[in-house]
Amino acid sequence: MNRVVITGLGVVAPNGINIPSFTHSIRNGLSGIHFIQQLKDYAMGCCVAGTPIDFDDSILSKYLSPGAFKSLRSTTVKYALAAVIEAWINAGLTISGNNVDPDTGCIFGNGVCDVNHMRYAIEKLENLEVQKLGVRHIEQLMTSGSSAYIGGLFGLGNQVTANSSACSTGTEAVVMAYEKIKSGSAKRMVAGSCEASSPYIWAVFDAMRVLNRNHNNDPSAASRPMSIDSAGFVPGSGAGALILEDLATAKQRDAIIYAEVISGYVNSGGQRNGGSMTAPSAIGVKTCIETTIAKSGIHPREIDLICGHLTGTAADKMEIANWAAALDRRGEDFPFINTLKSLTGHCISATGSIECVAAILQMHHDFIQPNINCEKIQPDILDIISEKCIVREPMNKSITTVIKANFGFGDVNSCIIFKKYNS
Amino acid sequence: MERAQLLEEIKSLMGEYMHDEDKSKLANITDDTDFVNDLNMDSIDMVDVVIKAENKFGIEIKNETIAKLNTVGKCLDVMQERLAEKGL
Repeated sequence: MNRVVITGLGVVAPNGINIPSFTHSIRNGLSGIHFIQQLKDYAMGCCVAGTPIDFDDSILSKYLSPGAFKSLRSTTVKYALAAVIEAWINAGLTISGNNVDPDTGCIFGNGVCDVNHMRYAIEKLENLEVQKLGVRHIEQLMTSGSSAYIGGLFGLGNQVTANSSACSTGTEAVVMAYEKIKSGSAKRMVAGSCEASSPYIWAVFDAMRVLNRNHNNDPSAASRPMSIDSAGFVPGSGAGALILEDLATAKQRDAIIYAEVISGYVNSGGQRNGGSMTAPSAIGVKTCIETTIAKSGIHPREIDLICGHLTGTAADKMEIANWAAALDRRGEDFPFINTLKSLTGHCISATGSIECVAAILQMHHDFIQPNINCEKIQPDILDIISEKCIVREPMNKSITTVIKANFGFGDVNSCIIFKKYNS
Repeated sequence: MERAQLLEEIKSLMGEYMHDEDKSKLANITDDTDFVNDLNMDSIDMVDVVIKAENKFGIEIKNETIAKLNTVGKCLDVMQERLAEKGL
């Protein structure tokens, strides 16, 4: 089995549209959540969202044909391309003219296409203007749109596909890419996920009454995972991208190694035993975490940091209980834990990949991102773990091993462990 | 419509789909110039060019014909034929 390492990172996040700005934001606990007038105009209860409002797509014109760039409307594809191009360059790789690389592939997921774009196409049809629609829409509306663009951009000749597992999508993509390289089916994989800035998706969560409606006048305080007064999550958007390589290939080209992936696992709770379409089964979650740790060969006590899913809903307490049970660590023995979502909101299908990028950056730069907006922690959580484990101020700390998990609608789970690379 | 005039119309539509470094090639195109291989255009963009020409000239080219229009000459032939049918 091949060892698998991370050699490139890219991100378009609500609080940072590239790795340097994102690193600065997560190190210092800076929020990327904003009031969105459009959500108020739509009479949504939650009128804040984590969106990469500084994002400028003009850089993409350097990499796409004029026709493709001119027709690009999907923020799903735009965010994906920007993040992946940054990761590719960050990895020290070049775009190879007309060559096809059979050893490199891509798994880049999303939940649904950019519904803003879908609406544009639907309106053309409804207005009897389908003949004026143009030719470059299905390539952006198909679920595999982002991965198809990425594959073409870099001449990828291995598997090029898209996964879709709701909020588990991003971490699942990284795990799938890890397994592909570990088994020898590929030498390098582009992995990640993306989520459009679309009120049409956020609105359906608002209708489910799972978004926070209490902080429309104070956006940076709206995402409050683990807080005593958390009242739902804040929707978000963006993309995270990672370049995974087998160790030998990375060393051969003297690549910078950000981390080693030592284990990953994906499962489902089967929507039984308390699990449902929208609620994770505790058994499924614990099995996913326990199996990931077992496959890694490390002891749970070696885990320095948990980068949790923790969205700011009633499920936070159950997640903490599941981590404690799976690791068999409680009180002050529990590892440090944080969640990016207090800064970005919940970027839905993009969340896992953006959070994997954040987890690796923390380990690489020796700091722990603070959880903001949880001055008072839920008592039920403090019944399980010590308050000291929940980092609330920027902290410089050497981290060797970080575990990350995400859980999605459909009762699906993914978990991964990154370790500082040691030759 | 004169072939030379039609060529200029098509070239003006093609320009916005071409990389800046390839646009100089438009000055020397012939009937045999291949949109993809010689002008570095994406084949799907040529479909867009044809659709725009259809709208501009009020003609309609069959789908199965569009798929075969890989060179400048073939494109001009078909469009001239359609225009002639309209008395243009």
